[in-house]
Amino acid sequence: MQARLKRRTEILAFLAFFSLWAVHCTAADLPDTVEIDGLAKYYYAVDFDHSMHIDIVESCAACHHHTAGTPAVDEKCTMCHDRTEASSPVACQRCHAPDPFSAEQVYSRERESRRYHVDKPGLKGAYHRSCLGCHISEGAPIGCQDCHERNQLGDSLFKASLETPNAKVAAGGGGGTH
Amino acid sequence: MGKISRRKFLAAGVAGAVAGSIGGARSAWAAPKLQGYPDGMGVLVDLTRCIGCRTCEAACNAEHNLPAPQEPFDDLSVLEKESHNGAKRRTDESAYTVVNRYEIPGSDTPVFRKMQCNHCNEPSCLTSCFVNAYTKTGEGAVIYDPEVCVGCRMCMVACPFYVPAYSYSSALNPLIVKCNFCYDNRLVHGQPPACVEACPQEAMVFGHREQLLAIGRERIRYQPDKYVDHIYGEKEVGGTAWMYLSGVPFEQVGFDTTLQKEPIISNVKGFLGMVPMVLAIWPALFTGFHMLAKKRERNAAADCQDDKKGESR
Repeated sequence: MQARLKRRTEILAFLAFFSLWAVHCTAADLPDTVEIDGLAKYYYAVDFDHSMHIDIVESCAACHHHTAGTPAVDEKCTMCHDRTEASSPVACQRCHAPDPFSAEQVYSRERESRRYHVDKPGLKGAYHRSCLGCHISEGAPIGCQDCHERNQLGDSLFKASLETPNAKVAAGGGGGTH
Repeated sequence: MGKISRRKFLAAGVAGAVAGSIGGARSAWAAPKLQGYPDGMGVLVDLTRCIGCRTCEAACNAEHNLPAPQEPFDDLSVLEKESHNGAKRRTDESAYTVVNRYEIPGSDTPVFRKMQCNHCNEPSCLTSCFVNAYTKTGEGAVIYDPEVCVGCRMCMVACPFYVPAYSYSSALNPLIVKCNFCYDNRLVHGQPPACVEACPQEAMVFGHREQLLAIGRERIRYQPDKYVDHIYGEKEVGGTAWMYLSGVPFEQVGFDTTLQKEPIISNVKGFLGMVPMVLAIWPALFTGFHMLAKKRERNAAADCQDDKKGESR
């Protein structure tokens, strides 16, 4: 229950934050940094250097595909969307759900069987595939902690206290490969 | 609407039986085609999206309170670990899922493959288990009851994917351990498995199996140059709940591409169906033969004695 409450607060925080951001963008007052805290459970929030990324990409559409005043560029999108105005939501969150595999999301996806975009990634997937896709092709840092630093809970999830390599583990036994 | 008369009913029954014994004999003994539960859930793993970060392994370990691994989950050197015979890491008693790294000939970028139980539509682990410790649930999970297991390890032999592992570290009560699709703690509550939820890349899609097949086909159709035109698990061994998309030939990333399309049970179902018949008919049949033979012997012996009597007369 508490976890759910926490999750809801996280989502609300996200929404509030991104709606603010949307207002900023329409006012042509782009944020210099953006705090992204979708993975706040295991990682500290990322202070995304928005202005630096604006300087190095050609257009907003590189990240905000058909939004933020730039029309669609991907030719697979333009097959349908060549005359479509840039859509108003700027925040990834507005289309990409933070819980893409919850029962509600799964069923709503399947109910609308005629919808074209049935394979839309969730928020986390959209972020990582967008960011990491570029980071890999452009030779930017790609380690998990190059972008987000792990918190204590994250360290315990990854069993970071274990020594590398081949630290002997007292508890549990097993764990070797066959 | 005429009522079916008794005579007609019997005649139809006899005709049906005759037709069945002539034409339908093959289909009567052949395994019925099961397509899994219609509402069964599944996961589509897209290898082109996996970056080998091992977050799924860490999430699985935490979800099931598994023993600590030998190396921390952020140690990516284990992805290349091979045993003395060149085999990659496998699932074991402390890891229900593992990710391995494969170097692809002629390509700079490695491919990572996550493996876990594929949750077959017709699981051979289940059919091999003589104490019925396995269950294929309506949600699509193949789960396992350690209370019932006697530790015979037949399922380990039967599994075409070499997934069930054994708790060799336990001297007194060794059991089978394997991925259970997070059945009790997540699936029945409408939540995706821990690994799926944890994956930063969303390399895995969770949904109804039918929907996943549609998504898989759509991805292949949309980017035919990116994907091999095959969804591994759609047909293999009768279909699995967990399926894979790949950008490189499946055999290059550790998949057995020689597996049959029919469920493993089909290989023996016809034969096993005959066993009760053999047990019921053969004793009577051979007793009959035996008695006939004995009778002939007795008759022959009697004739012989009659002849002797005749000669002595």
